[in-house]
Amino acid sequence: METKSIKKRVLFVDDEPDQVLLIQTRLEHHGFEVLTATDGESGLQMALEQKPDLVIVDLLIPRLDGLEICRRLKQNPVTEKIPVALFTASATRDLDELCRTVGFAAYLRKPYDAADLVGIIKKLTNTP
Amino acid sequence: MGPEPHVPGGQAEARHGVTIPRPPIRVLLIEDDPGDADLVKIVLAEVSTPKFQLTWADRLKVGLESLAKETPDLVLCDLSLPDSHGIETFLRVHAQAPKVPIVLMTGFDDETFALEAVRSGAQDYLVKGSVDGKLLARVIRYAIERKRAEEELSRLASFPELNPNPILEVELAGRLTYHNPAARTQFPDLETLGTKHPLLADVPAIVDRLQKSHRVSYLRELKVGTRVYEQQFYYVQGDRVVRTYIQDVTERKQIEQMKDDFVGTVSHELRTPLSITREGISQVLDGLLGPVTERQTKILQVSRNQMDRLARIINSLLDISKIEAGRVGLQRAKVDLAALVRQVAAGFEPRAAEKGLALTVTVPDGPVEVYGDADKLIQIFTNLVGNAMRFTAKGSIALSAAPDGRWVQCAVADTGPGIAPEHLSKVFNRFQQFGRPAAAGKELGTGLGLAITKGLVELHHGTIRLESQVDKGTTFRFTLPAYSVETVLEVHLKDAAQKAATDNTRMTLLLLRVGDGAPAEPAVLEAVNGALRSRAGRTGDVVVPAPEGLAVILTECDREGAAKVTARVEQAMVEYGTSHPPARPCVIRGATCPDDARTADELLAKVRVP
Repeated sequence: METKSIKKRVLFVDDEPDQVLLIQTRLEHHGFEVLTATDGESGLQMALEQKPDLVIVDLLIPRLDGLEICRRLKQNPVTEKIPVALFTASATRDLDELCRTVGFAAYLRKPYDAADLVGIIKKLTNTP
Repeated sequence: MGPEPHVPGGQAEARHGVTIPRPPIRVLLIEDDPGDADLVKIVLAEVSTPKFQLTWADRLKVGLESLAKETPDLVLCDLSLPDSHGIETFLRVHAQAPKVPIVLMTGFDDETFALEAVRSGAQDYLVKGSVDGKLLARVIRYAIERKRAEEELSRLASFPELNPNPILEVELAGRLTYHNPAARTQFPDLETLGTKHPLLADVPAIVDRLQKSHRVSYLRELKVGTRVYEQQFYYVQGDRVVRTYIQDVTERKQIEQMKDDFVGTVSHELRTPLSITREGISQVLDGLLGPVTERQTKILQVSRNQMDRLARIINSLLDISKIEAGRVGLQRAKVDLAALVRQVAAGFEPRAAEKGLALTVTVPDGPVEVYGDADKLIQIFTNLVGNAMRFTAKGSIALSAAPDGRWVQCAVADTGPGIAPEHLSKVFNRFQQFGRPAAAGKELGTGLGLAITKGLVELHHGTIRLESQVDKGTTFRFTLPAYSVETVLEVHLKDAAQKAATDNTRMTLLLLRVGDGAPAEPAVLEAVNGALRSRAGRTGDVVVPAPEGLAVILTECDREGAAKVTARVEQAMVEYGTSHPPARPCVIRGATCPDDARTADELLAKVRVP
């Protein structure tokens, strides 16, 4: 079935509903379609079913953490091509290393600058 | 001569021509023989100064009753009384008034009792019949004086004896000469282990340093079993012993650790709500939710600026807590400081132009190479220039870097309001702002920048200081290690020596003089590195070139371990020479910290002695 819109679809997985609301508002303003989940399991499920253009996961979320979601998506031939970005407030972990070892396409730090965030997301989704 | 102690009945004091008579010495005489008692009265009456005031008791019972009511300056006591005899008499008087000096009177036949009593604490004794006034007066005054001195001594001695913290007195060679009860209970093996005990280890080396540096005290931290102690040494120049005080700081260290962990967790937890709040404000400001008036925009911008400041404070807090906990590892490399300084200055150019400040960079033509972590070096300069920018309203900010032997001298100078002399010592403390008026708006400080800067300079083994004159400006001057084979070696050696001191472990430096003495090529370093890992089963060691060949810094490695490693390294060098001719004959010398030397410089001197 063809989607009638050419909007890029971003799945955002974060257990903080307020954060979800704000990211959704920001990305919709920039013309993205935003799918959301507030725990790891349903996030992974949604990614497998919906095959979005980009998945953004928080590092620490209940039931399945961001690292595990990324690993599973990368192991699955159906979803291995979908870029996964890490969204985190951690200042102690080596995020470059996580990108290399786990397979994240990029990381976004909290607190973030909206312009930077949108820039990275556009790049990852090949949006002009 | 110290001040004269007050002695009852002492010389009358003449001051301003007025003579003030001293109170008489009050003597309790316990003597059953009225004749002997009279004799004492008569001989004492003959003495003009001091005056004596005599109370007479003819029985022990009467004497004890008198003592219970009133304390005399001295008791003069016959040992043979109708109701008590011999040493028993003394003991009962002494028990009744332990602080009062007692002089005994004996006949010719019971001198042995008197001697025994003196050993038990009596001040002196007199043999009846040989007593004149002058002698008696002198004996009495001496007895009072001696008793006072004894009391003083035992009072002073009670300080170490009752102290709950261990206190030791050690001969310069390390032999224990005194330890208080707390030391005995907390370190029962102190005497049996002797100089092998951690508390007595390295005493000669510490004394040597104190003697050479003319310092009085030295503090070290050490682990004994599972506890952490701070041991302070006090040494009086020329003394034959050194005194050391030990405090158990295990709990304090645990609390400090908890505090560090806490800061890390809290800063992390603060970021998420901060992020959400900032984004909410941003969305309104960016017009995502409809038009915003000019006044609304202004207020929301203020809010967002403060959010950004809060984020900076959180990041700085994390930085400082990591630095203080020793958890910052530097990614060191050869860095061109000239280029780095220009880069930092360029970043500040727009702000300087906006404020009308001149921003100057003075560096030599060509690179200025230092050995450091580029990111951290940028942070150092950015903090200092940012700080100068914030407080300087007009004039200039000057950055400079110039090589000076093994160091590069760096400076950031401003023409700001300066810092008052009384505040200079506090500049590097956390959250210190000295009422210097910061401009409103974007330039809000965190109060942590200079503390972090100092920490980062010191991680590079440099030093930082400042000069400031009110109304003239402030200059921060700091040093960074110039890049050379020798400094790279030194920097790594300093890291290792510091770590050994903090962890209370040993580390060993091996210096390989290879061939005629030239820095070893990378392939040789790799061969040695490989041998350490695969043959000696060691990790975490550092292999660096040295002017005369190469150096191996063995962490957590004592002399014994180093001897084994040395053999492996030697073997690896021989094999490398065989597979990659020519042969590279080498001489290996080792020095262990803290056994042979404590500091990087001393270790190097040790292995380089011809």
